[in-house]
Amino acid sequence: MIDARNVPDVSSEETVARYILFGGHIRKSDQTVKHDAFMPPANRELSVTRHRSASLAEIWAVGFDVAHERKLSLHGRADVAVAACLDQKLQVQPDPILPQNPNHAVMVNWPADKPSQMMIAKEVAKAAAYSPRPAATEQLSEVSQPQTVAAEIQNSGTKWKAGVRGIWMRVIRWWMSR
Amino acid sequence: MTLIGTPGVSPVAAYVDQEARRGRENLQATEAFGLDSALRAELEEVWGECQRPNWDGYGALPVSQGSLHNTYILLESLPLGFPSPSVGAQPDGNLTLEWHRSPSRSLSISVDPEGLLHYAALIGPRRKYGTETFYTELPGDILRLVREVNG
Repeated sequence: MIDARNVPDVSSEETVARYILFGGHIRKSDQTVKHDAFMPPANRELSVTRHRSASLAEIWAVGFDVAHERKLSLHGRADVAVAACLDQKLQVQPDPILPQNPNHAVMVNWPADKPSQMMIAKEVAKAAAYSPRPAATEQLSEVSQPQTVAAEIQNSGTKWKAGVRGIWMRVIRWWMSR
Repeated sequence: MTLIGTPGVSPVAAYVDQEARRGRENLQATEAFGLDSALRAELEEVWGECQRPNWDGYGALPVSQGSLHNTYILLESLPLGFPSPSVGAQPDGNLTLEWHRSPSRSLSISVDPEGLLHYAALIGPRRKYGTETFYTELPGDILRLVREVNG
């Protein structure tokens, strides 16, 4: 990941990822991403994560953290070249969220009117490449997130029962993945 | 060929319009011609998932009932045999309809609760976008864009 003490500007050579936390943002027909996933929120700052200095596992790990924090499922991520955003007169600015995600950035300079936003979002989505969440990463993520197990235990009756259920689930997953 | 008409104001025109609407509703109530069951299921699914705040993880507003209402009316008004869109949602709480043939032939409409349709289309090298007012049927300009995307 990027060194949090020295976050560089975003260059046109970089790629950024938009995590997809809503299944309706993916076309079932061809597993591509809809423009809806790139529509800016009211403050017109679209949240993305830079690939720069990050391994694939780290990029996915951030996505799982984001999904876990929001109590949603990570469906996948849409990668887009910063150059494609610049082509649409957007800018990508570093916006590190410390300590969790020094690679966080925002896509800004969106026009105010909705049809123009939609048109730009369609062009960005067209340039994006969608990758569904890898199952193996999910398993790794669960193992590396003790708070997930803790939440599971807290939510399901007695600690003993939940603990046993958790162990069995992991055994079954391990057995299925062999 | 599909005829798109503007309802008239005379009693006869109103009767014809009412009968045409009733006929279409009867057809749509049947299995063969009804609002496509897959489309209806998709609409219900998106509506179900997007009623709570932050459904996209980035602070999206809940999809409004007004947008759902207008989307349903719009879908019901589509001419019989018309290509079905897919349903989506946007962070401002509007539902969207998308006709997507390929990355460079794609039209999206955002259905506003106040009766506005914001649209954006990629048709080869052309880009078309704007806003139309929705009464009870898809405006002619957008209808033509749907045909261009699917043509």
